[in-house]
Amino acid sequence: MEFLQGEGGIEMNLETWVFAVYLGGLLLIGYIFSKRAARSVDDFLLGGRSVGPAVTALTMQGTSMSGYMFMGGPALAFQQGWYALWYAFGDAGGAIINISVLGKRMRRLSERLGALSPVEYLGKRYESSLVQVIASVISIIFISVYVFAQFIAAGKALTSLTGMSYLPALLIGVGVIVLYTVFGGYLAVVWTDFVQAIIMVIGVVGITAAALTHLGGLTHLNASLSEVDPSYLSIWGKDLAYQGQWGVVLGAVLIYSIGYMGLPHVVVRHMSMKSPKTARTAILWSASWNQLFVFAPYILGLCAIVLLPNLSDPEMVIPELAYTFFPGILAAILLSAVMAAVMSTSDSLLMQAGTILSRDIYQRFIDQEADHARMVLVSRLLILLVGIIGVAVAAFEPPSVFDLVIFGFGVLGNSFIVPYVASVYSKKANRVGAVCSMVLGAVTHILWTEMDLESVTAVHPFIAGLILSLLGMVIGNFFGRAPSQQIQNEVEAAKRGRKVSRALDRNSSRELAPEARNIERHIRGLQPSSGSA
Amino acid sequence: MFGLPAETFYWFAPWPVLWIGLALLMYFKLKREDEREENGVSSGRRGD
Repeated sequence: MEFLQGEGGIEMNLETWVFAVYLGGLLLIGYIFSKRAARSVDDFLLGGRSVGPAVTALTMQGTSMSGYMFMGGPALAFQQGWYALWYAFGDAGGAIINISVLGKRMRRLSERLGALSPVEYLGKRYESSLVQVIASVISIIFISVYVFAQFIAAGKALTSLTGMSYLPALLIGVGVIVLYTVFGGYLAVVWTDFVQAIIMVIGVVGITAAALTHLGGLTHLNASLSEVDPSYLSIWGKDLAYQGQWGVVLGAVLIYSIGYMGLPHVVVRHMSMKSPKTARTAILWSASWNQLFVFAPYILGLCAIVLLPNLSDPEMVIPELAYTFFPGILAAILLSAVMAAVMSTSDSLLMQAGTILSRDIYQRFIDQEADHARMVLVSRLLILLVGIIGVAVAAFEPPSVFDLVIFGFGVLGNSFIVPYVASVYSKKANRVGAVCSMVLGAVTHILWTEMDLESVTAVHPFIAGLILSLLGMVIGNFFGRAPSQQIQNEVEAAKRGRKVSRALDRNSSRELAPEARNIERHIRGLQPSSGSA
Repeated sequence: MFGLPAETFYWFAPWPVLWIGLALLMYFKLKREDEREENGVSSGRRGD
C-alpha cells in the first residue's frame, strides 16, 4: 500500500473513510445480487424485468447525468452565463418525455418480442440482422467513447477526493465499478444507481445552497454578475454571441429533452420495468428529482464567475469551489456526489456494452445455442474485457475526451430516437426506414459537427441530424417491404395493453400454479405433488 | 425578479412549472389508460 501513501498518496482522513465505506457499500450491493444474476440471462441482463417505479426513475436519472454534468455544465455557465441554462431547461424534462413517449409501449413490445437488449429489440422489431448489426456498431463505438471519458473522470474525481495519484485512483474507482457490475449484473447496476442518484442530489443541492447563502442569495448573485458583465444575464450568451440564433437555442433545449430516447443504456430502463404501469409513477419520481438536481450545477458555474474570477480550467469549477470556500465535510460530500455521477453512468455503459457484445454479437452470430449459464459467463467476461480496455485507454488520458462525450451523445441520439419512437407508434415502420434513419442521423451529426456547419447555418447539429433521420425513416418506408403481419399485430397489441383483466390474470395464475409446479417437478424427474389440481 | 432582465426571467422562469405540470398530466393520463384497459375488458366480457 506504500504507493498510496506520502506525496500524491492517499490521506486517510474522515472524508476518505466515509468514501471508502461508500465504495464498500457498492460492492456489497453487487454481492447481494450476484446469486440472482447467475440464475438466468434474463436476470443478469435485465433484472428479470422486476424494477419498480422509484428505482426505474432514479437509475434512469443517475445514468443520464454523467460526470460531465459536474464539469461541462458548470464550465458552460462559467463561460456563457445564464445562456447555459437553456441546456438545463431541456434536461429537466428529458425523463418525463422519455418515459411518457416510450415507457409503456417499449416495455410491452420488448417483452412480447423476447428482446433483452435495446439493440436486439430493434433487430427483432424491424426483422433485420442488418438493423441489428448497424445498431450494434454505432452503439459500441460511441458507448465506448463514453465509457473511456467516464473512467478518466472517475480517476480524476478520486484523485481530488483522496489526494491519491491518478493511476491508482483510476484502478480503484474503475475496479469497484467493474466488480459490482460483473458479479451483480443489471440489478446491481440499477440499485447502486438508485443510491448514487440520492447522493448526487444531496451533494449538489447542499453545496448550491451554501454557495448562494455565501453570496447573499440569487438576486445578489445576479447583481454581481451584472457588475462583471451585463451580458452574463442575457439569454443569448456572453457578449450576446448567440443573439437571434433560435436554431442553436432550439437544439440546446431539444438535445437533452428528447436526446435520451436515443441512448441504448437509458432506454433499456423501459424494458426492465416491473410492469407497464410502473411508467406512470416513475414519471413523477424523475420529474421531482430533475427539478431538484439539474439546475444546481449550472448555478454553481454562475457563482464561480463571482467567486473564482481567475479560474484557469472552467471544468474544475466544482472542485475549486468546494475546496476554496467549503472545505471539510461539505467538499467531501460534493466530490462523493461527483464520483456517484461518474460511477452511475459508467456502470450502465459498461453493462450495456457487455450486453450488446454478448447478446447481439456473440449469441446472434457466434453461438446461437448458448445456454443460460454460458451466456451469463460470456456476458461477465465481456463486461470485464470492456472494463480492462477502458482502463488501458483511460490510463493515457487522451485529450479533449469530454468533447467526444457531447459528440457521442448527439450521434447516439440522432441515430436511434426515430427508430425507437417509430417502432412503437407506427406498425408500418420497416427495416429500410430504420436503416436509412440510423445511418442518415449518424452521418449528418458527424458531418455537421466536423465541418462546423452550425456556424454557417445557425442550426444545431442535433436538429439537423434529427430532421434527416426523420426523413430517412419516412422515405425509407416507401421503398421497403412492410413488416410481417405478426410484427404489425405485436405493435398493435403493445399499443392496446393487457387483454385480460387483473382479476382474471390473478385467478388464472392461481389456477395454473399447481400445474406449473408439477411440470417443473416432472422435468426434474420428481413425483408430482399430492395437492395438484 | 431575482435581479434578472425581464426577457431572461420570462423565458426561463416557467420551465420547472411546465415540466411538473406535464409530469402530473401524464401521470393522470396513464392512470386513466390503465384503468380503462381493465374496465374495458370487463365490460367486453359482460357483452359476450
